[in-house]
Amino acid sequence: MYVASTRMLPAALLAVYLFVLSSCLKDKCSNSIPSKVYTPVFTSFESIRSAVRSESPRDIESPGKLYLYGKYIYLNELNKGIHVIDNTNPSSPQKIAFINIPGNVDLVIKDNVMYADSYIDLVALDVKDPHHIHETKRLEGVFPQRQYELGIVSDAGQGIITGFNVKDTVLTNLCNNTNWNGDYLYTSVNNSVTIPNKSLTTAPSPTGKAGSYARFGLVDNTLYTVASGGIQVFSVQNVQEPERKNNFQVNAEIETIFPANHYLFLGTTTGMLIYDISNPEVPAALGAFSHWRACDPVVVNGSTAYVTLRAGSNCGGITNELDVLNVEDLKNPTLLKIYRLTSPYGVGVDGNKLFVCEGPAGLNFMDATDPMNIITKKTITNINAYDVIPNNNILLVTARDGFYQYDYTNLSEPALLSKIGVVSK
Amino acid sequence: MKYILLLGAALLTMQGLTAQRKLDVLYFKNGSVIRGHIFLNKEGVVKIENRVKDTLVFSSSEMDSIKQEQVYPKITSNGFYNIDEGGLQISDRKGSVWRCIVGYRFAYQYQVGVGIGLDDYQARSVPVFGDFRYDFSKAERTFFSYAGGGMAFPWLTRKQWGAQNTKEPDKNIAGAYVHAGVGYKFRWRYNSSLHISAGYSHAAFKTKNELIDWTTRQPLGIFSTTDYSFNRVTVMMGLTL
Repeated sequence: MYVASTRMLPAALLAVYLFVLSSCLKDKCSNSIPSKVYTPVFTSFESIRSAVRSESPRDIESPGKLYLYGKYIYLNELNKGIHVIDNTNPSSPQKIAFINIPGNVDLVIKDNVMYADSYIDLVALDVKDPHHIHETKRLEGVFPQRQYELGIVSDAGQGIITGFNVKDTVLTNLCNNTNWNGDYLYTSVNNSVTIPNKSLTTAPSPTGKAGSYARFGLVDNTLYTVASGGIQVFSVQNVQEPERKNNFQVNAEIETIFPANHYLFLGTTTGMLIYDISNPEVPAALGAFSHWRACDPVVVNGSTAYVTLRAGSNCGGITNELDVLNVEDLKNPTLLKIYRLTSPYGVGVDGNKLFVCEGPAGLNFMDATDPMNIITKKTITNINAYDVIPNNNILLVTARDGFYQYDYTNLSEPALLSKIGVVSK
Repeated sequence: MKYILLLGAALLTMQGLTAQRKLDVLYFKNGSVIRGHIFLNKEGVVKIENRVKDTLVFSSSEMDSIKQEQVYPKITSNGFYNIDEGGLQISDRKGSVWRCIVGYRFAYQYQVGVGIGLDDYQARSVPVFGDFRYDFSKAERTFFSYAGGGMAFPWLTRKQWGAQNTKEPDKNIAGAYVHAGVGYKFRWRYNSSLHISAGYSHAAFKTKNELIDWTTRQPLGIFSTTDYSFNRVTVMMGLTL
């Protein structure tokens, strides 16, 4: 008995020791993602609506939509207003004024009257004299989707969200937390949003009626704007006093509008839709061309449409390509050919000359005489281009670092005429 | 609870495998002493095999007494050693661990060495560490204590990093590795022994994944980090040569 108990003693001691120790120990595993906390800054509606005016020219910081009217180029400064550039000499464009329009992203001009969005409103401005513009009409609340920013709704009492205070933080979660999405965290206590640092750059802004990122489309006396879930129609027959008409639903997420003749070509995340606007206020669905989910600016030249699809964007795309479509039969557009690209953004066409922006991959000058055999004549690589307007052998280009103009008379040897740089602040 | 029972079973097994040896000792009336193993003691005749395998036959009348004495393994005071051990790690999860240690023993009871292992837990890692051991006695069976520390280098399996991210980590950052505990040793020949031990082990390390700009698909130069910190009970069995 003594021998047995002696032999058992080490085992017993170790067992007791093990039991005590095991109850005290825990593991830790956590994921940390560098993030930013966005706390909204509100501005009253009164303050926003009273801020529209002409100002002296200023630096370009965040170029957006591009619009050409007469001798002037109107270049959107994202959410701030519009730079007015005298382009009498494309080799030496001159900024002459800045039209302050809080919340502006898009514009079109008819008979010297500019129709521009200002957060949730549509404003009509007489811009005959860019130094002394004046507001002729304001339609309030016609763009209700603009009251949401980053998923946070504006507070009617405080006004509209016009910016965010940004603070660095680190989002942390436990490993294997199935409730963690890693992308977005809303905190109701201070109405803020925390987002991981997935991008240091903002997505390119919608650009130009003649640019393929247009979200405003003007056809004769009717203005079409991309709205949430459809198209908002305005009559501009009385140029200085636009009038809100109906909002027609489109069962797709619309990205861009391109009017051509009496048709509207809508670029959506899942395809191109064609509407007949013979009755301007009641567009009728005509035809469609489906594609993989992507952002897809579209331009049309005669019976050929050019659609660029880009992967990895906020549209959720997986492919980078140029689709060339035959739209002679508008009810049944057909795919002619697919051209693989690197990272296509905006596209422009002038006759048989095609221009495709490829973001960091540069700018392509292409001969589209034969849509089945489009040839890239020249690629300029030292430019991060995202939209273009071709106009009488002058190509206006919006890029990350500024606004460029090229003479494309010779597609193989485009000549840089001028650049207005972007000032980073 | 089952691991505690397994520990007890392993101990008892080791005790059986390394049963203490004894020698028969013949004390003669003329003062001689012979040691060996008696294989016959009957009818006044004693036959014994000595340690050089000779068979000797004596009459009981010549002897003063017959006794047994314990045989202790011959331990050298200094020398190199190698320990190979493996076992279980238990905390919020379970895993296995394997360690190989080489070092030098001095003053019979002190052992200092370096080791490398494979720590296969929630996240696999390779510990590289220094190790110190102290035997409480020079006896054939003795308690000992051990402690060590070094670095744990992450080496995750696809399944392990796939649980946190969609791609393999871009950076693996080693962290601290510490272990300590007590055990029981069974020497069986010279400096060789079997042992069983229980203690604590800690491993901490990080992995980093570079964030990709979701619009341009270009790396942003900033990283998400997964921090691992494990604190476990470790039960080991091993062999010293």
